[in-house]
Amino acid sequence: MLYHRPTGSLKVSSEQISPQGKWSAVQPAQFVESLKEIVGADYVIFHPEDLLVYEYDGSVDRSMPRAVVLPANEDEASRTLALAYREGVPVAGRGSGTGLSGGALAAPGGIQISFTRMNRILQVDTENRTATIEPGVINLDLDTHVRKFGMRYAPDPSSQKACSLGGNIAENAGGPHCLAYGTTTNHVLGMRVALEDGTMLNLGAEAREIPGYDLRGVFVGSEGTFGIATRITVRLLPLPETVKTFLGVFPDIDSACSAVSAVIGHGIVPAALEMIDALSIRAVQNVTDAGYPEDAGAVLLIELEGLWEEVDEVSREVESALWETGASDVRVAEEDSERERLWLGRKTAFGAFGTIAPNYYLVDGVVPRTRLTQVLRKVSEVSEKYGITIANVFHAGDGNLHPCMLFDEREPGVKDRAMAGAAELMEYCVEMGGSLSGEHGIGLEKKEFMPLVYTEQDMDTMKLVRDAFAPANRLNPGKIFPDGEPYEPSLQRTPAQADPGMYV
Amino acid sequence: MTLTSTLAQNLSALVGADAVLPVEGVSLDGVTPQAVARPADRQQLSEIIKWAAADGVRLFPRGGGVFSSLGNLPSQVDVILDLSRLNRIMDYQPADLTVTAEAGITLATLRRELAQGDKYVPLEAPLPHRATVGGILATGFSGPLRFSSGLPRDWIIGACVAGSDGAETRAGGRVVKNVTGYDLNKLYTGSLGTLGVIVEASFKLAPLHGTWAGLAAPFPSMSGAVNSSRELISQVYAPQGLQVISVDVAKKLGLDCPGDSGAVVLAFISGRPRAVARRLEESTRQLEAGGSAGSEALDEAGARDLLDRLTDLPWLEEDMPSLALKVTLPPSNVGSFVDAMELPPGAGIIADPGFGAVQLLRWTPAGLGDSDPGVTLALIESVRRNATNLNGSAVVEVCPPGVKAGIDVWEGCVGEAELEIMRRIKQNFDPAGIFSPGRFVGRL
Amino acid sequence: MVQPETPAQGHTIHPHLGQDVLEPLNNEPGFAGLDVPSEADLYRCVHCGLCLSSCPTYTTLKVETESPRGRIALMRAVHEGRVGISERIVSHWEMCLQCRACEAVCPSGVPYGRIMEYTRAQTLSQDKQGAALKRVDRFFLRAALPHPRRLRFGFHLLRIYQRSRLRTLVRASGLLKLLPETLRSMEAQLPDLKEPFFSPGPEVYPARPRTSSSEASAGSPRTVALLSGCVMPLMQGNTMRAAVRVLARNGCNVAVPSNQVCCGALNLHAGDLETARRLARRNIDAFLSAAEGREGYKIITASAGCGSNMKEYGELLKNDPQYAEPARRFSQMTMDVTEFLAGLPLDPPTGQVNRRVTYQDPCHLAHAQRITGQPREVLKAIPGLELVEMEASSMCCGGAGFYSMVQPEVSGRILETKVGNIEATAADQVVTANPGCMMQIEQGLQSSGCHAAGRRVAHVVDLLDEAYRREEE
Repeated sequence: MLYHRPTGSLKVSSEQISPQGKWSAVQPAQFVESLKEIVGADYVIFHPEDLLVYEYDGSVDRSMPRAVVLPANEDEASRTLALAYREGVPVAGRGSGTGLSGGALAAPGGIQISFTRMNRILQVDTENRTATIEPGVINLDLDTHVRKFGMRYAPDPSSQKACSLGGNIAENAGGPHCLAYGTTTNHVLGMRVALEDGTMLNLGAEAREIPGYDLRGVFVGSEGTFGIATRITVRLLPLPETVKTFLGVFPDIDSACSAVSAVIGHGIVPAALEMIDALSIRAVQNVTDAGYPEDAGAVLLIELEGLWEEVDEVSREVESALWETGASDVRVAEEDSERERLWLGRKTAFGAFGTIAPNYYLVDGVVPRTRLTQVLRKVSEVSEKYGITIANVFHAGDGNLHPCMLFDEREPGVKDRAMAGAAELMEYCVEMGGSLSGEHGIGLEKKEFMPLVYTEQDMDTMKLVRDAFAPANRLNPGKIFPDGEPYEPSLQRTPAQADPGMYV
Repeated sequence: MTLTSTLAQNLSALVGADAVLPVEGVSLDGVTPQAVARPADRQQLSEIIKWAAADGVRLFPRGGGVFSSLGNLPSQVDVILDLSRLNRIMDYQPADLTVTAEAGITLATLRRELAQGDKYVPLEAPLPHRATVGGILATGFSGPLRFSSGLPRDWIIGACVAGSDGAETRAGGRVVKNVTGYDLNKLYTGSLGTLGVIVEASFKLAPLHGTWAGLAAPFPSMSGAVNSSRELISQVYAPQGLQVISVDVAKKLGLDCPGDSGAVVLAFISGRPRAVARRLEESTRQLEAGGSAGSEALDEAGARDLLDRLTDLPWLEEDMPSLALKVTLPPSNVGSFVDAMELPPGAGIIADPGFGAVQLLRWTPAGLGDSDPGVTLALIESVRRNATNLNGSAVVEVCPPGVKAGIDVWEGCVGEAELEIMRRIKQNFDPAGIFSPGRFVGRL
Repeated sequence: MVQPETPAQGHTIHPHLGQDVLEPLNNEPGFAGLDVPSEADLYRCVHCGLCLSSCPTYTTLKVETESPRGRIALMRAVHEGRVGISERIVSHWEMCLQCRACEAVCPSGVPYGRIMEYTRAQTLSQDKQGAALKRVDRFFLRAALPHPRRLRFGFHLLRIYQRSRLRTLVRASGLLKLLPETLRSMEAQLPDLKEPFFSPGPEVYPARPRTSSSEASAGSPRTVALLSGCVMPLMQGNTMRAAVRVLARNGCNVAVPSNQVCCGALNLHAGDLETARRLARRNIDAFLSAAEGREGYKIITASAGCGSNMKEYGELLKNDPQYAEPARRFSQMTMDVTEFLAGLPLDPPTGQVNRRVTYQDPCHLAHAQRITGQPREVLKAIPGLELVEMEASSMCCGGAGFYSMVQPEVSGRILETKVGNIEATAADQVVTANPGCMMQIEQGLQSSGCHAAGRRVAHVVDLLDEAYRREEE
């Protein structure tokens, strides 16, 4: 059985282009030639076989672009946008393609602008503690670089080894240390952005506060629908004097949840507070020895930072809170290597789920942190009800859950059950006073759930801003807002012939 | 009440006389409104907005009126919308570190309520008994602790805003981390009531514990004070807030300051006692090494009192400066900016070298009255020039209406391309132009 | 047991994408036969992208097609029948260095090296190899490497060529330009064969523990067997002799079985599983017969690439009824020489080697065998030696077996980055643990004229041996 996407040739019918887009008389081949004139022949990918690797990101959806353009600089990016605008072709920005909500996927008939070549760190200003970078710079590369100057870039998504700052801005990426330091939006000072027609804007500046509407603030997290950041200035923080990481080992999820409440209830906001459940511990230990005890019901990873006096005082409170809530063991890591090992497990957990089941669907719901126990009970109910294994590894400190539905798509009907379970969990999160997504974005996969949180009027109000930035809605169309179609993800793997016995 | 306007009568008919206040003694930048409406609840607010939109009546939302001097001179003030009755706390979850309150609640009330659960909201405002949450959000106000606490935009997690059709819409939510939909909270914060009426807002909170301390360190020169502060701010033991004030400001706060060109560095420190002690000790040592002589440590009460008085200073009704400008610029340029300023008599500076902000204040010297608009204009001009040269911008926050009539208080703050986007946003949100028209950037 | 859905219904499409089209992107054939990448391996990849930044070709070329995730996606597309094995797709697969850096960082534990080897087996069996690889495979990997005598004879000729004025003449005459690019780069890459060849033989080099109180000499000598290999004894004979001396010094009788052959790693990387299996079987015969009744018998190699391959003989021969079990035993006995030495109580050298060195992690040691600490431990045991870490020491040097011959341009760009990182350390000498890396880096240093070019790129055992030898001074 043979399948492929309709974009094998560049012929695209007008219905496949966004409603506003008009496919002009220009020939597809001519369009590619024009793109090549902008960025050079080597940097336009248009052969269908090559495009097979641009149809995915880290999410469950797939969509093959018409072409991928890799600009070398802002000018090329802007001209690419201008050309696409004239030709009525929708555009999606792509960083490293690690997003979990389909943000980098091209709209039908659309192109992607990939920023992997624009990956220079342009300037580090130690005086003002800022760095100016191109959007393709990898999050961890920036952090590693500025650490040489005694500073750091605080937002640290689990994919920080691979994800780009441009993508972080689009999704307003979070990470474990956002508990204390806030998400990407709290760290972006200025951006130069290209609008859908290629016009360049300066949002924000070197100054932390700027008069006028906070265009910078509303741009961050707009999932690539307002414009594409081509040059970014971020705020850096000084390295803390002392860092201490705790591993609290708990017999079950409930006691770990009460430990979270106890810590926050003590008036302690750690730099990070993460929970890893038994299944996730198993998955992590399958691929790397992070030092998590394999018989634990759950572990908490808690990091404290600050002056040593603060850390010293708070750590005693944290430790006693852990013991009081039923920890079976508390380990403390102060050496960098030990701390890195504890974090390694947390940061590789999602990938490690591949050792349990070949497919996953991740729910990014967020709830008030006092509701964690309830929601996690609901998670196990859902797991039982739908017969789906669910692993939990998440940012407990700010109530950002990541129940991960693990399944093997070849089992008939399992995908539908997983989706139904995910929907029930999202509904429950909202019912508990929470929200659909804490840090991954709505994108394609959660857009049909938006009405759970917002009324049509709320969403119309949001669209007023998009219409100001991108009146033709040519950037990343079809994302965030529901279009009435029931959501049906195209999962990541579609085996032609399966030999179940081969499966681990 | 012989002067009752038609608008006021219409309003009375709409929401009842109870919700309509007399206009005597009320003004916005010297312009007397035709009516002051004080809706009793959100339903009334909605009705007023619908009515205004239908009749093209211009509404100027207002909390405690503390910041009412902000913005360009309105050409015509139809109705001031007093939101002080929308002042309920809707939801307070100390254990979740979140609160949701209506916009008309004063900061003092909110703080008091939050303290019951050992939490606080890191918003700052002068005259907290008057300043409201809605006002702080609309102006994006920040105070001396902004270096460590950030701005209101960093703490708001949800908003409920009545739009130009009178209907409330929501953005964000009540959870501390949320990327569901566009972050309109950021857009509303600092929009000066031009996009709608902020009715309700949710905030992240911080635990209220520990202690306070402070430090007042006099320096023989402003630039010495700024340079020492810059060095201190880059240390791990930096205080939570660090301000450099000039002689005139020091005098108004009752602080000793050497000579005519001296300055005082004020450090505000909070946290756990041992850490506070160390920060205080190291800060003192470092500032003294930098040239300060005779620094004075402040205990908890002293530090908090000074912090409040410093925050209030430019906004005291009984002693309002005749001119106040706020400059924001890259922190490393604060020293150059201060050096480049030649201050006329009666002018003072409050500089925030950690965050990158300078307030320039002028109390008109006795006997001059309002009669020196030339000096005022020249000062505004030179502040702007200096700010622009140093990659910053300047907003005129307070100035005599006579001067204001001839200037754009936001001039040079926003580039043309960005302003175009702002115009479109304003147009899309408020097509009839009923919300605070003319006051904001680009006279939106 | 999970029943597969019928594919026609199993394939869903996001509503955005419109209708599905039931025809492949090209008319080329898909995977066929027994040596195919397994579905279980392919679908272990959840395309999270965490491999991207570790991939030398992706970070150099910046396109997803030249990334581990992209290559797996192409394999999956072939597996799913969405596309056949076309020249274009093969070109992306052959751009891979097979350095396995991605495998070491993969949170899902995707066995990338294995998948790529089976994929190469497919391109070979279906005659889809790119021209450059085909030439290297035919004239070098098959015709020379597996035949020790032929190889040795060729190297004799080469040495004569290098020592005579012939090379100068050939190079000056421009005759080389007539050769295909691959051969040209081979010619250029071959180092001067200055070192005497090393040969396997029936002789067992006796243990010569120092008469000290060191623990290494305390027990009775144990016997280990050393892999001689194919090219290494001809190009880096000195290193082979150093390995023998170092092992003998640490209480080992060192055998170098004479009927051994090339380990077959390069054949395996090229997808020539048959040759690789043939060579593996011969080595198993050669080494295991010597193992009988010897406690602590280990098969030692000084070549990371060979060690990695030998440790995977078990996988290679898993379906061979006769050899599956011996292969597993062979794999378990195999150790890299640095791994072996660090596992001993090493007889501490007292001779001084006063030098600043930087260590290049061979990919097949660091990524395939996950050995990074042991070589450094051995180096740190050498008095006077200062070890400075270079940036990205475990990033491939671009040598990657035959890669530098098949992809000279990309190999060169990767090497350039490596030489820059070496230069930044201001090291006097580069040390590594694999013959291919030694050759590639040597060439990079020579052509850049960087500081470390003053000394031959050393193997860890070269430096340890030097320290032992200096004890007499």
